[in-house]
Amino acid sequence: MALLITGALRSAADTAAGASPSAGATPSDADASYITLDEVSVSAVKQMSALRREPEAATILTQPELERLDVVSIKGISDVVPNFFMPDYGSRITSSIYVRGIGARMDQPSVGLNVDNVPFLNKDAYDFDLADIVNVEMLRGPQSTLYGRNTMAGVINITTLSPLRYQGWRIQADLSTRLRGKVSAGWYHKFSDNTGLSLTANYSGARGEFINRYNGKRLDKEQSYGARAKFQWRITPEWMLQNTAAFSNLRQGGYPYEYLPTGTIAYNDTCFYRRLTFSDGLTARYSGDRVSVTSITSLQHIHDNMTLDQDFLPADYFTLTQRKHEIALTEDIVVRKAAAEGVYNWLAGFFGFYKHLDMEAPVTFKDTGISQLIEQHRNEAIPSYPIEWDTRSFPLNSDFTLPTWGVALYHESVVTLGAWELTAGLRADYEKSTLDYHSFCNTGYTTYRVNGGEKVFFGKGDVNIDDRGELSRDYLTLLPKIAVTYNLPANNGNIYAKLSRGYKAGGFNTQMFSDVLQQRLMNLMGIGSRYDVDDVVGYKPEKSWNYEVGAHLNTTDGKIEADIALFYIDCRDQQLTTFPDGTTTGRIMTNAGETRSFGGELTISYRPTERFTLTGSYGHTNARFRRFNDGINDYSGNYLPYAPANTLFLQGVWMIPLRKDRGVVALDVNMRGTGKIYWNEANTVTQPFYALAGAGVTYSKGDFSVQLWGKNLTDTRYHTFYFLSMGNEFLQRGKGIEGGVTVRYNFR
Amino acid sequence: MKKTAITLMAGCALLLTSCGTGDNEVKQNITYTTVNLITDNATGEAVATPGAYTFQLVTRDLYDRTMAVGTSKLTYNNRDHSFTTDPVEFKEIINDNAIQQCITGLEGLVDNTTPLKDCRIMITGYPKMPGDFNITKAFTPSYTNDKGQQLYIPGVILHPNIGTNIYPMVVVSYGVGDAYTVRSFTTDAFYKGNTATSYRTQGGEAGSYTTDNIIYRVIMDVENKKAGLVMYNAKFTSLPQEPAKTALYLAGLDVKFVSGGYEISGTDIVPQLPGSEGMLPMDDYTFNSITLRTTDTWLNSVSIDYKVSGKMGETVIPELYTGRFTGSYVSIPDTMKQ
Repeated sequence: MALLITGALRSAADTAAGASPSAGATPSDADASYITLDEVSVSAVKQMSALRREPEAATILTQPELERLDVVSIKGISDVVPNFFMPDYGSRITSSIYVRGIGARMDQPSVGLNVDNVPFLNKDAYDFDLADIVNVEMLRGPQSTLYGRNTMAGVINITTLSPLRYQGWRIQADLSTRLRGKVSAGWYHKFSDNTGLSLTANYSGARGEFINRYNGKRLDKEQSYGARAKFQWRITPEWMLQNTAAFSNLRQGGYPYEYLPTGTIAYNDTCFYRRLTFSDGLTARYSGDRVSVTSITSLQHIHDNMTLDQDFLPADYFTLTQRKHEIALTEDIVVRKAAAEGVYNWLAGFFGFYKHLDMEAPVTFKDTGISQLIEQHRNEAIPSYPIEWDTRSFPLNSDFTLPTWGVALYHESVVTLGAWELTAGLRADYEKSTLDYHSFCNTGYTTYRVNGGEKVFFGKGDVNIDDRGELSRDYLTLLPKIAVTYNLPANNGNIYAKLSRGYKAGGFNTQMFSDVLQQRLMNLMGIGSRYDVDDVVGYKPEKSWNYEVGAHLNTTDGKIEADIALFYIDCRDQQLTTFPDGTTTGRIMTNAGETRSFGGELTISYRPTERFTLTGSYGHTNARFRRFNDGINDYSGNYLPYAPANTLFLQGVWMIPLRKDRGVVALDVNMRGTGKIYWNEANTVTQPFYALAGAGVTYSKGDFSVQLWGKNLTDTRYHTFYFLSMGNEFLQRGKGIEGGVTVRYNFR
Repeated sequence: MKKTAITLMAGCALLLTSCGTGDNEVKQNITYTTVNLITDNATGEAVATPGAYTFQLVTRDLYDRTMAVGTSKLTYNNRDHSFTTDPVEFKEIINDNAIQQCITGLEGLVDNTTPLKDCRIMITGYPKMPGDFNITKAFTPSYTNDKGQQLYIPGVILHPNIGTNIYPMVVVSYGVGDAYTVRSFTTDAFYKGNTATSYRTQGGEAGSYTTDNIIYRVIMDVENKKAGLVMYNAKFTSLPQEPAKTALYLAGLDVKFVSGGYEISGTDIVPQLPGSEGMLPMDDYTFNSITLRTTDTWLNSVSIDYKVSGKMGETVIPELYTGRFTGSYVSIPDTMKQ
């Protein structure tokens, strides 16, 4: 089975992204195509065969391509993978991913992420730099049957280099014209044929591109560093162990949001994001004659602090801090038939997780916020009794504890009848989430009585809020999948049709507590509706049905490969924010929407010669609300915001060997395109389609390579994000033209 | 409302006495207080007096349960009367997320002489309230007496619904022979239904607004025939510049008991707005008239009509709001109406 996986993935790795032999490496070197000989990756464990043989729309990016495109995090594959969009905005806590129109800005992710088998449960930790990535797989469409919760739009599997495959040092350094720099070093050692250890470390820093006009400081400065230790041990031919431990530390400014009317970034309070993460994943595999059993155990720890000038204006409205500490444990056990051959193949699994989150999230109201959001609002409602707040700054505090746990059983069967394969799978998933909250605030105000035009003292109002409570929800869901695959003769590929169910977990949106507390404050002053906390912050799971037909095609000589997929997604109970019953303040999180999304994807790779590769991938999505009324407006029929209608990636790579073994020069020209994007449910603000041109020249000889690269060479102006805050519109601009140099040196 | 249902069950399960008789049957007793409205069928005069009913539940198995009902506090003609009914089959239904225990076909003799006529009695919780309204956390009018104790407005028979437990209610309907008709009502009731308001803006434009979100609470002092009315989530227009008032309290209303029902009314009432600083008299909005009438024989449904004049500066605007509420505090299942 290992050889089958190796061969199949080698084929996929060679062709999926037009990969040619990695610049700066010889075929016997750390080429991604050989990675699986000694790897146990979660996708290899859960897939019956190579991804291009599966009824899946999947893109695999291998090391040479990742290096060519300077990809060190999953944001780097945005637009390269069709219908996959992960905009770069805010800070590294914002990992909003949209696939085929399905995505999430807040709370639960829609796309799962596994790194060296470690499943990342919290999307706040999705954006981090990794050294020596050899393989990124992006499976589009619901993966809920095998991967469970929060894979409604897909799953990303990242594999890093194995010490059993490569031994020696790998050093990389790069610097850009925008004074962004990265350096990484990895030591790979094999103690014996069966035991290997690698230690890698990386550092990156950025001066910052965007300037806060309020104080002249650069906003998006960043420093991060991390390390990883990977240990692999082939104990016996049947037993294998792999452990990967990693940590990262990040300090970042961020949030360069420009105020739309002025086009400038200017705010007076500090914004930053700091994060410390640690993860460990232990994979144990037993390969018997009849069955193989794989256990993947993981531990993740996140400790972060996000502090924002929440109004993003020079005025003193309010600031938000969110400090959290989360620990998660997961266990995934997969039992499968030892060799994927014969008429009937199967796998079955058990998955369990526990996640514990402690969070403090105070919102501090300041002078302008108090006068305009509280005093003015209250005095307009009750003009005969105007109030004045006692202080010009006070916090609304909220502390949360969220323990969540779940278990699941899953199974998949594949029946092969000649050229036909019938796949059926089912997952039973149970999850329970609890929220313990404590909201507290001590402040006060003075009330006056207007008498004959004069203000006369009436009374003092104490605001003493000390609310505690516990909310709990649990869900039991069945997630089926069926597929039919027809394998074309002469190994020319396959055609498939698939029906699958997607699932995004329900839970509690703690960000809504600021709305709850504001309403509570108003209630104490006699105005506003009272909130039921469970109704406001709790939301049900989101579910979808995904209908898909597709094909993986290749010519017999392997020069042309194409992947095609057409899909239709019907999404129910969409998790959206709405206003309750005609009010204009106080959002609640509800399952208010029904959406539908249809479209297609096409990826073509053409290699007319060994030295020349052309690659193109295009994705189109038409995603609209079938039903969505937010309590004030009816957006039924409108396009879903934030999800681009089109993604486009075009690339040409030309390898030029120099005479007399003087090395190889690789020329790379590429273009990424995105859009049209609607920024709001009303579809009144849009980002038209934009294209970013890139190019690179790499000289490599032996273990050394130097790459000159450029991104957004036409300095296209575009925006990556839009939002409303207190009726004010903000945008974040995308990065402009950038050039850089990357030096790599591998030595043994 | 899950809390209501669970509390009612728990309340019923927390019986004052419980004993086994040795024949695989368990007897349980519980007493609930209410107010009886007793109408003299000959004269049409009605009086309201405190009442209490004791329910005896005998359980032989899950499907074999009987209930008997008794009272020693049926007060009319200036004295207390009593009865205990024969046991009848016991039914329990869930209606609008509230458990209602309906006992019909009860038979017995008042003072061992006069037969009960068409006796039907129900123990019930509140039906489901709007999601943003929690009875246990709603504003409750209170006052401080000379001793500095905080009390609820006088005359309240039942504890106002505060804290975590919601007291169940008793709904009765029977005749004492042909002489008297007895109904019951709660003196602290939350009504939900529909409010339709017509209003005028500052510019003189007319508008109308309909909502199901306003909850009305009526607290009665039966002895002194006074009542207070609280309007929660009070909002009379669709205008965004008029946010909902968390509560408006109208105190000092007059109570009149009429044949088969009652009326609560007041004129030129200045509503009070509860806030952290105390009660704010909202004399910019005076309820020139407000009248509550019971609209069915079970005394569970009411209509409330009101006219409010407003003040913009020194200018008085008559009939700024004219509103009508129709709703009920408890639903009567078909089982009880047959």
